[in-house]
Amino acid sequence: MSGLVELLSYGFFQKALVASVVIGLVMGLVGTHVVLRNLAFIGAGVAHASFGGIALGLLLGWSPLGMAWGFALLTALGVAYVQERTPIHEDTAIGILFTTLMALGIFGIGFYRGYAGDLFAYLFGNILSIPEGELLWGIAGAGAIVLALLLLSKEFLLIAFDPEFARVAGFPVGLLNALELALMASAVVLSLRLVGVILASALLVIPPATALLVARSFGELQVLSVVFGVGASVVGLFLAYVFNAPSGATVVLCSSLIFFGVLVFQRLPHLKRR
Amino acid sequence: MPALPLVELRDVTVRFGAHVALERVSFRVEEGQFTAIIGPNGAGKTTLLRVILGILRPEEGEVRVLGKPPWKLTRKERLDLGYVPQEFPRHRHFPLRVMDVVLMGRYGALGWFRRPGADDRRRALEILKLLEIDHLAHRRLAELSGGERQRAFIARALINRPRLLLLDEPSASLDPAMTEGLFALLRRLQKELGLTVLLVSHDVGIVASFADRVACLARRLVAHGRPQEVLTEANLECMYGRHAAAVGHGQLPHIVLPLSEHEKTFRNDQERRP
Repeated sequence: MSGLVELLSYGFFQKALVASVVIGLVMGLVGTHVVLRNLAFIGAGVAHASFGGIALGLLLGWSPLGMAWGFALLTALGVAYVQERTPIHEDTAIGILFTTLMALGIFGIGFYRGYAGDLFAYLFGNILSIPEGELLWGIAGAGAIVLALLLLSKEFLLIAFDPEFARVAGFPVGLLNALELALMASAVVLSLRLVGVILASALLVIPPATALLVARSFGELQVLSVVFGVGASVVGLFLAYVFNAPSGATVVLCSSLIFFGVLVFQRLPHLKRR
Repeated sequence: MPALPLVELRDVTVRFGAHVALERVSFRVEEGQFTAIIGPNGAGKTTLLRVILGILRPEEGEVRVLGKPPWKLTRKERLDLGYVPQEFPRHRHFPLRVMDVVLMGRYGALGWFRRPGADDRRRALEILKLLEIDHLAHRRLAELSGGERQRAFIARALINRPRLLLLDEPSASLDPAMTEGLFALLRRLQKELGLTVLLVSHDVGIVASFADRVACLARRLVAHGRPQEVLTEANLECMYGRHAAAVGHGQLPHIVLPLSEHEKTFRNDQERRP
């Protein structure tokens, strides 16, 4: 217990803890729309595209996370455009865009003469090394994403459930869709520091999918998804520290454990409450 | 004085690339009528509905809905359109209660950011009572039967007390008894609320018994008028081809179409047997 108190007194751990809570919250909230719209692939796609941005950022000496965000937005808006204007399916569009942007990054790395370890931090995530400036940016970004999601919660629910009806009611479905994809992409970039490129989409999908198993309303879905998301990030952070394990993998494994736990609990007939 | 046309199309042509979906379709729906658009798969029924709803803009021809091109209708004016889309299986798994779905009908009236309030709930309950499903208000969509779910979607379309109710293949997932119940319900709503009903269907039999006007569509408008006048052998043959067989429903004409070659052979075989 005293070890825990001591741990919480370290500045680096406090920052990591705040970042984990913020990321768990944002991913849990934005993820509800991802699972309702069957867009799980967007998370993986955006994360990989942002890796292209990180690599080019390192090569050119520009902000890697800024570049990552640019590439992520490019993917999201590209997908929105393709959905609206062409007969190509969104899965295909994601597949084309993210591989192109990622290839651009990998092509760039070939010319990179710096320390390649920086790149690994982004690939697998390392929350314990988050600098204060990045944390503040992250909190501001997360605040903006959560605010947008809460303000437009009814509009986003409507386009997820019934885009045709939304159009007939007079809502600009194309614009709302682009905005929502941009919010999803931004949330993925925020979580790169915690879970890294390879596992970023997990937090976007697993906590809301777990919530979907038990939620009876959209409100319940949002609350439970946030609870599962924050729970996995915080518990994962502690376990990663205790076992000296990579933060990203530990957090994702925690959220998977919660998912399978809830699934099993639900399937056990004598434990079923409803 | 002739009734005011709520919907008027003149020489409307819609193309998707080289494919002509609708060809010079002229058509009008007058206030208070119950009109059914029938035709085989791929006849352009849903395309016609999307043109009327303002989701699709035709390359050629004129469209007037409530006196205006439908894509120019403001969100307020759109409250006069009630729309029941074709049911998608994914709807069933959304964590939404019947009340939540019906309240979606108010989103257009509420506008951006505002959430439904007590007055909207009162309206929703009123319309659920009218449809005799107020006892289901707090049930989840997944817990409803196909017919109950259909009523919930009709309630959503009627919550703003529109002048025009549009339905896309409302009987697609219903059995014959439920289909008859649905059409009787629509007929009652038309009378009680003074509604104009326009629906798309491939079910010639049921339409013959309930609609005031039938429009036969096979890319072009083959015929449009009272069911007795329109549902002739020649028109049905023009839409469905020579091998179609349709049996009228209830009091209206029993239309016996030429038997297909396959059926003739089969019948001859039966007759030859001792």
